[in-house]
Amino acid sequence: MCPAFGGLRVLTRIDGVQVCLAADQGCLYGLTFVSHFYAARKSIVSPELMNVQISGGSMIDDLRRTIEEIARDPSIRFIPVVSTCVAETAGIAEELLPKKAGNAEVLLVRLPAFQIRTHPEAKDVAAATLLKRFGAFGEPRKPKSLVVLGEIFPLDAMTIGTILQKIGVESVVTLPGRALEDYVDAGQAEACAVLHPFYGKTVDLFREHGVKIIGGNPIGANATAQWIRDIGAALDLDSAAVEAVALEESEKVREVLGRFGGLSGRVIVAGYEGNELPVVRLLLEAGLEVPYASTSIARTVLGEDDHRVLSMLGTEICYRKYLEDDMEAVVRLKPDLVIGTTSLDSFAKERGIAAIYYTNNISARPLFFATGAAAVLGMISGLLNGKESFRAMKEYFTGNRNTLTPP
Amino acid sequence: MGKTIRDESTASAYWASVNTFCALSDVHVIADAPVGCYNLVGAAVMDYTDAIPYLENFTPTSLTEKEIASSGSSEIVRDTITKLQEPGRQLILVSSAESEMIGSDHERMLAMQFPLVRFFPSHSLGENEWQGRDRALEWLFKNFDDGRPAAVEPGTVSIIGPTYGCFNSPSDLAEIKRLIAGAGGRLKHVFPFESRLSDISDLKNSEVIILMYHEFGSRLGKLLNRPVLYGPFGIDETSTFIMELARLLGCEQTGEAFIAKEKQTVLAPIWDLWRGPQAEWFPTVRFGVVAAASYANGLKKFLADEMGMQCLFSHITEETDNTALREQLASVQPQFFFGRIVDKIYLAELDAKTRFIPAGFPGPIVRRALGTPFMGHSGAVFLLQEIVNSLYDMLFNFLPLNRLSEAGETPTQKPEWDAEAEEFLNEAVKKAPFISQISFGRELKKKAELLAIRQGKKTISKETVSLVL
Repeated sequence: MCPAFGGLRVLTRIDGVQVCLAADQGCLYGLTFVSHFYAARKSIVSPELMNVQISGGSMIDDLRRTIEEIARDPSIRFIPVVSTCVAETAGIAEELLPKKAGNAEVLLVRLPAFQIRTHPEAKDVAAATLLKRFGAFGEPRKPKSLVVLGEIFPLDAMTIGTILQKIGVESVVTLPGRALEDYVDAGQAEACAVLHPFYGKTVDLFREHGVKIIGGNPIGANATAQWIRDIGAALDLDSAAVEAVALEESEKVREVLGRFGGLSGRVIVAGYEGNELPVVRLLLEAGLEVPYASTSIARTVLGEDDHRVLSMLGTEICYRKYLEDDMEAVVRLKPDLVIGTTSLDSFAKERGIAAIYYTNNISARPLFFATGAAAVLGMISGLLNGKESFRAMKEYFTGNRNTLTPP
Repeated sequence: MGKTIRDESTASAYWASVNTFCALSDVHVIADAPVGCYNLVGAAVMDYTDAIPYLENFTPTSLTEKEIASSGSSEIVRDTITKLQEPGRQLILVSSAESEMIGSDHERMLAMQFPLVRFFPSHSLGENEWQGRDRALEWLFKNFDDGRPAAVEPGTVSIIGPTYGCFNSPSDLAEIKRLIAGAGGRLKHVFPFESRLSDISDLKNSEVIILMYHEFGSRLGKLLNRPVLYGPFGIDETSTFIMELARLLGCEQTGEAFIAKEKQTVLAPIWDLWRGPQAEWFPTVRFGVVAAASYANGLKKFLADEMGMQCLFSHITEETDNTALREQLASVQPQFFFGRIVDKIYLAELDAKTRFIPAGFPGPIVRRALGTPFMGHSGAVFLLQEIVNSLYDMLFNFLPLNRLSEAGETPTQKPEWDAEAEEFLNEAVKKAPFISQISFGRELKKKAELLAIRQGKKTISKETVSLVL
């Protein structure tokens, strides 16, 4: 995926937003397509940015005019100006853009792919840029309030909400949010639970303003209990209540893991979302063998705990991976199942190996607590049981087989 | 000063070059571009427009800050070429908007160090997808034609056009092949799909060249110096296509016999629908099109000129101002919209009752089955079949159904209608599809009356009607 898309996904989902994208025609076409497909059914508006505008030096004026045109609609309350490779190379001076237009706040979000590298990191850039501008860090902190940082499946958000309420958390803001106010309110939180390891810039910003940071996530039995306890400690909640919920939830996860006790197989996890390692941890806890995992992001401080656990359990981890690294791992390790990027997914299926696209399958299911464990392990169990069909299809199309069911 | 663009729906010449060159099986394309330009064209969008998991013969240089800000891209291009060189594989290096921004021109470097690798400057900051495709095909001929004089093989036909990112091309291609065979022609090449690079030298030996699309290919067509025909839509264009092709191939009688047989077979459903009650709805059908030029013009010609439907608009994508289109749709909505995903979004914003039929990119759609052509006789039949089936669907949705829960809701004492309210109701009804206007009006009337009773009103005003719309 183009890195800039990560930022667009965060920005286009905000209510009352109209993105102004500073990009050339080819970039506009592609990013608009994936935004419409994966982010929001909303228009992307842009000034024309071709040779004529670049050599004529009219880019800033064109941007300002486009912002004004967008702002004529009084229902638009937020205009993020997103600049990608070509516009960033040409150079945009932020001070030449307005801060407000009509009823809308205007904010420059720089997302050049040659610099940001991956789309998870662009999500971090977008969230941090929003928070820096809008976070009400100057206001008094709300006691027992928490920011949950990281895009999650809706059902996960509901489960998290219920559990946090049980342990006495009084208010929760989830980021990236659907309302600009989420970013304002986030500034008043006491603590931030960061679920994904690539939100480094956003976390730094919280830390600078004295917001406590809680790492990890409620995936797997031990981590779930730990996560609940860490939140309790950070917000100074009633420890008996916290401990009771922590034990109850981890027990529920153990029950699920027990149900999948018969699961065995060799799995490779190689996505580009940046949140692969906790998924690997869950698979390892369920007794699966995961000899190799890779991700598009760099090794981060926030991901260190997972890195340590996985390394200890024998998983080779590849950061900032290339497709070739993943392909080589598939050939070398002969897994039963590959959970990978689209290209790797196809590569594995071409070899008759069971495979699914990480993004569409892991991100479209709950992942946290017992519900998440059951959903993910249920899917994996189904794939491992059905792995013969991947071989049959491969042999049909590339071998001598003439029927899918054995004669 | 530049214009404002809403939802860019035409790609750039960079996309054109990848879509064109990667369609050749023995070519490998290196894009001098940041990683996003590779991911979007080669995987993320390709997956959803062409149902291809990823382009295997496509590699980016993955430009980073280092190349952009200081070193330039020569070194990384050299490394990439070294890794990919292989006998029997033609490497083509294409520039992207970003590499053009930093002024990367590799022509001389390639000539010195990799004389077999060719550089295609995509001019991505100046040309759109169709201009780019046109130039890319011409460039292939200029760079790879063997230069021998043409030795035309009588009876042969080659098709130019089918490429990645051409909406619905598998079905249209299958139909064109069928028409060529019917007219007595023998297919030589389909270029660039179904071809190897060296086939470019053999195109000039075809007796006739078919350009599938009006959007691109004519520059190559001209260089080949052979008679050219275009992919036809509807009845007349297709008949002319068959007769003209047969004439050029010197087999008029085969062409005539084929048309006669078509009327009895493939085309017969149109005669049957025409004689049935279905065609009587056609004059009431209001449709709009926004698509690439061939489709926009072809749909209008067939559905409006030949079938008598009302064409509210037929826009060519690259000329369409989506902001103006979106505003236009707010006041007039066609019953059928042949369009792109952005049109589907604008219709959804209005909660329009319009039936959307995908007819162009951008938009995620699988069109790989061979039975959904828009071109030729098969296309004409398929389009009518789609439209009539949609009309049946609309009818179905408006026919009354006994709902037990609604019993007892029938008003005992009907409220009065004031003139303004009645006028407003009539205007609203006019916007509904013609064949369902009566039932729609009746339904609206009932709803307004029910609401008025619930609110304890004796007269129905314009406000009451607006609340039930």
